[in-house]
Amino acid sequence: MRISTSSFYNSGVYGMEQQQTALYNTQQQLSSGLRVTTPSVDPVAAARALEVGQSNSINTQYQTNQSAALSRMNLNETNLASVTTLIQNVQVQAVNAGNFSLNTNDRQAIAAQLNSLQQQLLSLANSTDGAGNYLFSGSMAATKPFIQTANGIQYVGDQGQQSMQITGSRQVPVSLSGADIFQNIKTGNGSFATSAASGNTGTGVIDPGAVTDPTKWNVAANSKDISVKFSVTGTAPNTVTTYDLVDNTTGNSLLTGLASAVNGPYPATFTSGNAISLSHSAVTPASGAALADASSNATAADAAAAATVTGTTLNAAGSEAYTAAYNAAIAGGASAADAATAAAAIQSAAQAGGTTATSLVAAATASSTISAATTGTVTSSIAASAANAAATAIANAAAGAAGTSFAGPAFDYGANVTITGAPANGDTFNIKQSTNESIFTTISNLVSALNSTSTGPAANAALSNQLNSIGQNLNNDLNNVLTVRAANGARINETTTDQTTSAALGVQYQTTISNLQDLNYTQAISKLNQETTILQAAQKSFAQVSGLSLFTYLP
Amino acid sequence: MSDIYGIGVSALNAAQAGIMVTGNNISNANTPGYSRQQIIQTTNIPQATGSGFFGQGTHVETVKRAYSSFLTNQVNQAQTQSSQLSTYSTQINQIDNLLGSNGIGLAPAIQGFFSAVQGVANNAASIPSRQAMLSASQTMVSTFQNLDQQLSSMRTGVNGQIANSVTLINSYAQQIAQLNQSILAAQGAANGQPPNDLLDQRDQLVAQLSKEVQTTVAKQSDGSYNIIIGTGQSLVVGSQATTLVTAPNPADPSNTAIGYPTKNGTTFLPDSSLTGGNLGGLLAFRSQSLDPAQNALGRIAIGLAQTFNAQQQLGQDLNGNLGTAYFNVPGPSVSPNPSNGAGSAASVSLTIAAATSSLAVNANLSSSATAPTASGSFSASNSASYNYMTSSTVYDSLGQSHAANLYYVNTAPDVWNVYTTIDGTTVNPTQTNASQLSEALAAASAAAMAAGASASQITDIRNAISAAAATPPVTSSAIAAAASGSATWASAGLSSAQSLTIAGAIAMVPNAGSPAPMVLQFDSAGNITSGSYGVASGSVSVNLANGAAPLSITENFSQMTQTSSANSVSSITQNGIPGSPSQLTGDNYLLKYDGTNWSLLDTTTSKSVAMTGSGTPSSPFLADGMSFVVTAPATAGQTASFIIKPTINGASGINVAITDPALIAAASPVRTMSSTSNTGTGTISGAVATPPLNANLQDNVTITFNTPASTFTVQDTTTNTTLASNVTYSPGNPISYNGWTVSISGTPNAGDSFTVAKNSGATADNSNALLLAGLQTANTLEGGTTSFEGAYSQLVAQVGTTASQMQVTSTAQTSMVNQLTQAQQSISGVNLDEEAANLMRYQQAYQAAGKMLQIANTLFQSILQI
Repeated sequence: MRISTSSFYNSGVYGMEQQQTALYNTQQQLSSGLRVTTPSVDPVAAARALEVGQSNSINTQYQTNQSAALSRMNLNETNLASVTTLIQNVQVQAVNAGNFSLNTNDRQAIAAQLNSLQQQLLSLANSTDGAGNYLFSGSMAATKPFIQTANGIQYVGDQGQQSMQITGSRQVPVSLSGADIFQNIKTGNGSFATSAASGNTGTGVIDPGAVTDPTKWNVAANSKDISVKFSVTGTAPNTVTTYDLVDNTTGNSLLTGLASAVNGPYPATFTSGNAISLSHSAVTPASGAALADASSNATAADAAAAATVTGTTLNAAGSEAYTAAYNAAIAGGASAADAATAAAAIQSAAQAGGTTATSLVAAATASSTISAATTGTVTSSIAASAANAAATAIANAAAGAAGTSFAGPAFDYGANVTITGAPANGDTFNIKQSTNESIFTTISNLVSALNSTSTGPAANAALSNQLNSIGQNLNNDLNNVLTVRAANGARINETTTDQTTSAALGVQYQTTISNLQDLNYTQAISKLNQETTILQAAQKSFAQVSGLSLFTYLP
Repeated sequence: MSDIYGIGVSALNAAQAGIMVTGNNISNANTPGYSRQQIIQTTNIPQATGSGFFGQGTHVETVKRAYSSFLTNQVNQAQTQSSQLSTYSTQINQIDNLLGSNGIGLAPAIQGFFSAVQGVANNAASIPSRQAMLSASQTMVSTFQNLDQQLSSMRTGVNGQIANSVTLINSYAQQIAQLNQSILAAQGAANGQPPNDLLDQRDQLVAQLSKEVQTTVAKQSDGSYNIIIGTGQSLVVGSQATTLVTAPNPADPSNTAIGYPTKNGTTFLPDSSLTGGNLGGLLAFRSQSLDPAQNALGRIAIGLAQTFNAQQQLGQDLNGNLGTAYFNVPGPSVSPNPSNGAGSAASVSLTIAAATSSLAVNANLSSSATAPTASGSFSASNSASYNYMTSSTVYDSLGQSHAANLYYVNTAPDVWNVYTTIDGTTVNPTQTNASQLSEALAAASAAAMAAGASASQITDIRNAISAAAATPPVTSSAIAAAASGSATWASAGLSSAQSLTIAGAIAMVPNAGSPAPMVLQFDSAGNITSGSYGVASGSVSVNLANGAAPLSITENFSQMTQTSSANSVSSITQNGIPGSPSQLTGDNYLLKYDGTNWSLLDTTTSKSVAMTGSGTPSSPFLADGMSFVVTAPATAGQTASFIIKPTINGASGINVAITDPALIAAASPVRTMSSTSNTGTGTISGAVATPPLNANLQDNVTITFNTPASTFTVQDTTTNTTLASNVTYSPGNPISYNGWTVSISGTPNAGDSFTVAKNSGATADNSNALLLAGLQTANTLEGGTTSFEGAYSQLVAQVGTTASQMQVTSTAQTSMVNQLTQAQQSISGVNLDEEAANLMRYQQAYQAAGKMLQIANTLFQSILQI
């Protein structure tokens, strides 16, 4: 083939240009350390590197967020630890205050200490993060969350909670609202709170009670406002303490299902320290109406379920019979004196009646008893009616004392309370739905309880009752703070774990990016050498070939 | 003897000619386009004698160039491809390098911005964090703008190179035309001998032209070249050359277009008709790589700005106000075709799904007024105690509706104050008199209609009001006049089959008993332009109250307002659909009106795009994340077209709209609280504002549990309305009212209550900031399949792939050109060794001829010496 001279030069130059371009690119890679110097070198890797780069950048951001979250949560933890110690101190003081050997002055000294503790707690609740933002004001960082008002210490923050994005799928809450830590704490046992009425004169002390079956307690139809009313009847030493459970929303007795009587005796007999169950299984003795019929006596079946009664209970049964007979006689039109006489006859008959409920009933309704009771204006029919009423009372008393059932509808609130001591006639204890109370209010209540100057057994009982409920509330406060702390601590753990994961992930991303776009130096240097050699060969051969010309041989 | 001399001289001459041509070859060995020349030597006519034919020496017949038109043409064709590819490759390498440089890439800027958003989320109350976010967003916006600036300057560069290329093409065309002429002349003068050097020059010019644009040569019988470029544009015919011109494309002014002059001005060539060469490469690069790259960047910018704005506007800033737009969202580019015609009212307005917009009441507002249900009758006697109101719906530039009320409040006998409210806020000061008047007219007419006035009475009312109400307050006498008639339409008994034309009256509801709503559209001047039932201008149809077929009532608008006729629309409502940035494609479009229908063509993919809607402000055309409000040409049958580039301005136009760090809406606009007196275990979650923004979002709302606590009641205590009663409670289920969503879990007790209220003072609340930060990884673009950075990496991949492909094919094509050139040169090229040999050959021939003359001379001397 014929080759034109200029083709020699052109193709030689073209070849060298190509080699130089290749050499240039390789040199660029070597000097930048990047295999993908521009996207066109490897478009797929370039795009992937951008995507992984974004993931890496976000992961780095998460690591920053994790540190920020940890620092904030640790700040929370520090403050909550102080709050815990403080509440424990208050608890110690509350226990000390319960010692009856202390006099009024001693208690007031404790109250003064408690005031100081309350102020310390207030300052903890109003902690700031160093930048002037309040830690426990919810979202209102610029608002001092707890302020002293005429109504005590009030929370004026909100219930907002800030979260931080610590991983792609997890926003961890880092802030705690003061409302959750200090404010929204249920009183009592969490379901209900017990208290003694302020006018109580006895020495009865009520415990916080317990819910044994929350499902039953939570039934919406069940009243959450119940009173335990006490009645003491009879004359010492034969006094009988009975109680009634009153649903304050309806005014009805839970035990009888009827309107609660103003005066005792009440259906249930009280024994100090025995649990008062807020439940009752249905029992259907002969109805009051049937008994009220003069011709129909209470039957043995009415008290068939009753167990053998003890002597003590016989007294109680007698006094109940007395009360019932007296009431029935008055209702029948007898004069008070005659009624008392008739009732006494029935009572003594009942007390002499025997050791079984059946015999008591029989005694109370015996015709001899009725005729004995017939005095003055008390006719035999009135006496019979009184005896019947007494018989019912006896049957109930006997049944109640035996720990079985008394007449009345079935109910079950799944809860019980225990009252110890000796409640006086007319004493009342309240069982109410738990409400929210702030730690500050609890301490204030404690302080005002300790500042009371009354003395005596009743005052002691009142103080005991108050300390009981306050102690329970302080427990609740402590539990609440510990729960919040536990949640905060769990998040700290979680975040720490995420930190490890994120760090590992960061390394992974870096490796991926490096694999995608970084240069393999060994390959590149080898390539550079190869390309250099080829260029040198091209240059050398070009120089040689271009030197060939026939003209050099012409003379 | 003289014969011998003659033969010797002829040999001498021929050898001399040979040396001359060889010398010429040697001297032009490096001349571009030169074809090697050879002498064609033949014997002279021999002399016939009795002893036979005696040769009479030699002569040079012609000088011939070694030339193959086939090979030359092949080289030119390969060259034109190669030039196109290498130009494209050079250009796209610029974008490749731009996107490849990590320092100025978009990815770090977006990452930096969202990191700063996270910074705000981590400490929402901190002004420095907020300032850092503002700065980072400024950096990101600058990066967008810088990248776009680079692409724009590439566009400027490409436009300039196109002009240069066209200048070269014109110059080559001119020279070829001249050479066509010179060659004819030279051939004629030289008895048809070929003017080789002129031919070479012309072929060389064709080769040069091929480098600029694809060139087809049609050789004519007289030897002249006719040149056709591209896909058929004639450039040179004989001695005539067309001069191409460059000018900004009138239909798309950002691009230089190529055209040729005609009697009526310039006719522009479509870019696709000019292929090959540098010019083809530039045009292809501009439409296939530069536009998509700039559009893709713009789409990311628009998507980011709108998505971010939408979330920002669902939040609350540090001052306790609802968030305002964080970015200024750049608008699309709409270029009407100049051939749409002067005086044509055709117009189009395009909005890309602005997720938010401020509500302008007095301008660019379309309103649909609903006829009021008259609750009293108009009469002079009770006017003093009669207040009434019309309800309308107005649309903001988002296409979101707002409740607008026009109140006529009787303040004193014969004095009516007219004022307007939008979403409960009085906006009257910005309302123009014209629109007030118009609305007053509409309201009064409709009210009168509902009250049973006759058509002629209504006309009277309208005239009266229009005279009386030019300046508010409207007097009661004008309105009272509306009710003076007692005829009732209901009793008049219009049947559904009847049709009625009323001049000067507004359409109405015939049955006063239970008026069906009638909707009228207003333009910015307050003129009614159409009815809600989509009837063409000038007529409104309304439904009969009893649900029978529509009754058509024709409205003569020119009598209603004297200021304009129904055909001219001075401004256009801009509408948009929230959430549609995800539908944006980054393509360019052509919106066409064929005299009857509007259609949309995606010019990037050459596919037609279906549009929904009717193009009116209340029902704009919707397609690919854009919404169009159009006005057809006033002249019937006239066509129109618009080039739409929805995202081209995105990256250059994005801006940070706020400068005050406090305006970053990091907080949720509403907070939730559970009452401290709650006894149950119910807890309420934080509230999340959900789009669209609700006017009552920040009202105080109480959720109270009933007895029993299995249901709850939702009460808006700000407006004292019960939003819902006895809603069944199921723990954890979303509860949504007033544009927020919360959930309640646990066991609330009867009487427990939870409140949702304005989030005042919540400086540390970061809920919205977290949502804003979440947008980084949310798949918001490409129909909800990719994130902002994902879209950017797609762009990088596309550019990288094209650049790489161009490099490879360009290299391959260059080798092709080299091979073909070598083949062509193997025929036409000068080989100096060959010429050296020829030199020696002709030298020897010359020496031999000289020797012959010497011998002849010796012979002659011998005879003389005899």
